[in-house]
Amino acid sequence: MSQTEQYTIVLEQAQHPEFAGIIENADLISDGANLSCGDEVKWYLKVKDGIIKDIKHDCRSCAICKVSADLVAKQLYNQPVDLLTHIKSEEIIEQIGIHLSPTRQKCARLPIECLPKFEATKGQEQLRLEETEV
Amino acid sequence: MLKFDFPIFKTRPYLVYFDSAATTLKPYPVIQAVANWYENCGAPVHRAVYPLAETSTASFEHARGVIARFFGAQPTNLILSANATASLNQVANGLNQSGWLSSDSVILILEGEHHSNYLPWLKLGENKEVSLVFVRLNERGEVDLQNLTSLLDQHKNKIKLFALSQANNVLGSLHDIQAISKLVKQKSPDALVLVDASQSAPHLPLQVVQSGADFMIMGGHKLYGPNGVGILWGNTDALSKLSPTVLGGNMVSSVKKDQITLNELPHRLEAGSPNIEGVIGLSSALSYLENINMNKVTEHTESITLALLEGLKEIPEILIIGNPNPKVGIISFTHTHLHPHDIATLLGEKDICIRAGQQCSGPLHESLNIPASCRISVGIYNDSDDVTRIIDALKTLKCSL
Repeated sequence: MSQTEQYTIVLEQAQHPEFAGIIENADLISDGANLSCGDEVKWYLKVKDGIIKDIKHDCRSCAICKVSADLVAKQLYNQPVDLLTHIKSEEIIEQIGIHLSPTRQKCARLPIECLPKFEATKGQEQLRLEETEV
Repeated sequence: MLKFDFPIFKTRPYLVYFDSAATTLKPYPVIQAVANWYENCGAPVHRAVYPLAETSTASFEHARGVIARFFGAQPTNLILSANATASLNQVANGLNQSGWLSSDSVILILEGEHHSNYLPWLKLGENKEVSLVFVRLNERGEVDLQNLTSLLDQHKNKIKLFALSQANNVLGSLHDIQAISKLVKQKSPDALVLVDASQSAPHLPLQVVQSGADFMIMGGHKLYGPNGVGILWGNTDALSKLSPTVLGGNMVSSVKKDQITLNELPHRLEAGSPNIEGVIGLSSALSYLENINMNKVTEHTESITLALLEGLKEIPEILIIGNPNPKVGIISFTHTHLHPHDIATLLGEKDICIRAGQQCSGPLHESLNIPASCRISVGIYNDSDDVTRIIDALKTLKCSL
C-alpha cells in the first residue's frame, strides 16, 4: 500500500473519531496548541475512584493529531488515572501506522503533551480544586 | 525553460516547487559562485593585507555594489546582515538605543504583518518605550488609506515610524509604497517609513530610493541567493539614526581602553565576520535575475498566478483567502474538509511542495478565525505543467474523500 493510500485511511479515521466531543462538568480539563501549524487540542476527563470513567478530546487540528488523540483516549478509557503520565508517544506514532516526518510527529505528540497533569495520591476533593487551575 | 538553470530539477525531475515565498531554489550561477569562492579564495575580508585577502575584500565589496545597483542604491547605504529578520531587529533596536524613540513615540504597524516585522516592535511596546498603533487592512488586504490618514492626523508628530510589508506573505496583497510614503511624509514629516520587501523584491523591479521609503529590507534566500544574507537599505539620514546593536570587529575605526570611534557606513552597522560567500552568491543571483529582466519576471509571476487562480476556482472545496494580487505570486487557501497540514502532506507524497501552517503570521490567522492555511507561492522556475500537476492533485483530494 502506498504512503498516499495509507494517509487516506488516516484521513478517514480522523473523520469518525470514537472519543471526540466535550464532557460537561469534567473533573480534569486541559488544552494545548502547536503555534507553528495552529493545531489545538482540548481534553475533558471524568474520574471516579482513581479511574478514568470518561474521556473526550476536542481537536481543531490535522488528521494525524485527531487520530493520535483518539488512540490516546482509547488507551486511557476505564484505566487508572496514573496512566496519564505514562502514555508513550513512540507507541502512539507506531499505532498511527504511517511514516511521519519529524515535523508531522509533533502533530501526533501534541495530544500527549497536553494531557491533564494529575497526582494519583490526591483525592477527589483536590482533583476538583485543580480543575480551576488548568 | 528556466528549470534547466536549476540543478535540483535534474536530481528530481518531477519536483513541483510552490514554496518560493519561504525560500527559493538556487540556479547554477549562484551555486558556482559560492563554490568558486571556496575553491579559489576563502580568505577573510577587510583587515588582512596579503593578496588573497585583498582579493576576498574586493570580491565582497564588488558583490555589495552589484546588490546595491540592482536596487538603485548606493553601496554605502546597503547594510548586510544574516537575514531579513536580523535587519528588522537591527532597525527597531537601533532606533531605540540611539534615543530616537522615546516613551511618547508612536509606531504604526500594518495589521497582518509577518512575525519578523511585528515582534521587534511589539517588544519595544511591551517595554513601554513606545506605543504601538495598528493600521487596518481594507477588504482587499491592502493598506486602508482612510484609516492611515486618520491615524496620522490623530497622532501627528508623535509618529516616529510606519512599519509595513510591500506584499503580504499570506494574503498576497500589494501595497503602493510610493503613495503611502508620500502620505506619511505629508502628515508627519519626521516619521520614517520602513518597508519589508521580502515578498515583493523577488517579483517586482524595485528601486529603493524612488519608493520614498526610508528603510527597505529584503532576504537574500528569497531572491534565489544563498541562505544567511539579509539586506537593509536605508537613506543616509535614516541610517544615521541607528545605533549599532551588535558590537565587535569591523564596526569600529579605532578602539582604546576607554573610547571607541565608530567606522563609516556601511561597516559601522556590520559587526563581525560577514557571510562572504553568501553575499557573493547573492550578487550572482541578482545578476541572473537582471539578465532575465525583472519586468519579465513580473509577467511570469502574474501569468502563473492567474492560471493557478483559474484552476483553484474549479475546486469548490477550496476557499481562497483574500484577493491575491497576481504580481506577488502568493495564494493562500483553506479547504472545506481537510486541514492544511493534511493537504500539504498528501501533495508532498506527489513531490509537490506547498506551505501549510500559519506562515509566521499568527495574529492574521486569528483575525481571519482560521487555525492555519495552505500557501502556494510562485518562483521563476514554475511553468504551466506545474500548474496542471498541482490543480489535478488538489482535484484528486476531492475525489478521495
